[in-house]
Amino acid sequence: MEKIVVHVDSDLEDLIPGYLENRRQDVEAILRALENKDFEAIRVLGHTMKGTGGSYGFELITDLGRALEKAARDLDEASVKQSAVSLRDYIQAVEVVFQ
Amino acid sequence: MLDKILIVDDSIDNRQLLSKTLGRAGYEVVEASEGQEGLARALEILPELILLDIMMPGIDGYQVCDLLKKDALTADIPVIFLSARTETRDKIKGLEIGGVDYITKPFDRGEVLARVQTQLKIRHLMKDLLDKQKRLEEDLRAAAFIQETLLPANLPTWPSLEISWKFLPCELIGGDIFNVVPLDEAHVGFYMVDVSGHGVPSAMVTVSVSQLMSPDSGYLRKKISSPPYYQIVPPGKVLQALDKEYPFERFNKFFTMVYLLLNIPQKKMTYSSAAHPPPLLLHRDGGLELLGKGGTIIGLNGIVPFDQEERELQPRDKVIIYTDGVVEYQNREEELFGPERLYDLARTLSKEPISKILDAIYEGLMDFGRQAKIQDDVSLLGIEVK
Repeated sequence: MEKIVVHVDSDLEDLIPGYLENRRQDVEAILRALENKDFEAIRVLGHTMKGTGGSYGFELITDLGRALEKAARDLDEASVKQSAVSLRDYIQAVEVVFQ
Repeated sequence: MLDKILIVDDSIDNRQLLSKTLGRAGYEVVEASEGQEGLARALEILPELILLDIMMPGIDGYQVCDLLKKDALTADIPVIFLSARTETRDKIKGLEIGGVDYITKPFDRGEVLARVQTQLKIRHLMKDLLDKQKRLEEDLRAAAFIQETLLPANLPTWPSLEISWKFLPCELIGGDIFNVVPLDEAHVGFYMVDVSGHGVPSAMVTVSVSQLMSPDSGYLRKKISSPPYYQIVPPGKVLQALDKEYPFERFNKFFTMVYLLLNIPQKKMTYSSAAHPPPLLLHRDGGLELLGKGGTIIGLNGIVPFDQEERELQPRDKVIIYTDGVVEYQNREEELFGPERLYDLARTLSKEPISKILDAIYEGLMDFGRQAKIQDDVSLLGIEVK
């Protein structure tokens, strides 16, 4: 998979691994919630992601969070799945460069 | 001491990011992961500022802010909302409920820092201002206490006289002063001064004048070389001397004044006025005369001489001296109390003791005004010849 380089302030270096790990766990939680048709849980996760991604330097996480929040409101399973997969792929591909 | 900031957010990622950012900027950061915990921590530590998320499990940020503003202990702590809810209506709701700012997520750390710094600066300035105001009010109360000591107190009693007075400053301290000055066994002076304006500058002029209106200042009694080695100064001359002592340019203030000199055994009263509202001479049968002799205001360097008049008082005669704060008191309909109401009240109660008459005038004023704030100091000094 092609790497996606993201530049992040160096003073966040100690927080990034924890942040990305939390997003990996979010993917698992979204997929479980999707199986249970718990769209409210998905909406909340999406909302939180929307609010944190860009703050850490990961604009795409904010975009995916926004998409998840909307998909959950629309009860759109397919969009939820697509966003969750995109998020998983992104986290795997992201390479953080501290500056 | 470091400023304490409380972060209330259910996202550990946000709390960690904000803690790091604010901690590096020199703030002491305390975290809460939901609303109730946030309220408890706020009461416990009384932070200088709160960063508050909106969407949280349990009570949301709006409810937290509302509760903070309703508690006297936390009401003045500035709250900055930090939320991924980006609609204008969300921001308006946050500001209406008491937030001082609203930052949308994802946030720029530099922006959060800048807004936090701004709000803290405002808070510190407000605290300084409130502190200064508190000290000023304490000083004013102390000054009011001192001014009150210049009013008639511990008066000697005269078997043939009854004296009563009322004083209501429109601010904590006032531009009115009056007193009763025993001059010797047979003579007593009564004066009332109304300095233009009110508040501290006018009050300070009243203090200055009251110092001169004392028996040993040389203004009311002057030394002579033959027994009894003093001479009582007639009222017209007293006002003339004060007019010279207080030209308008001295304090940028002028004042009205009336000075009555009473020869007690002879029941003779001499008075002069410097444009003061004319004292009332109230006879037992309800007859009312206005004591209107005198000159112009103090401060104009004697452009009009201070004429004086002597009157003989009969038993049960009363003299009522007052300032224009009485007759110019406006009620909520902007109607003036006016001199006629004062005269009518006095006539109606002419047979009553002087203290009762002044009480009635005061109550009449309050009834008329129906709790409207007084616009000028209200002073009343009453003398009754027994």
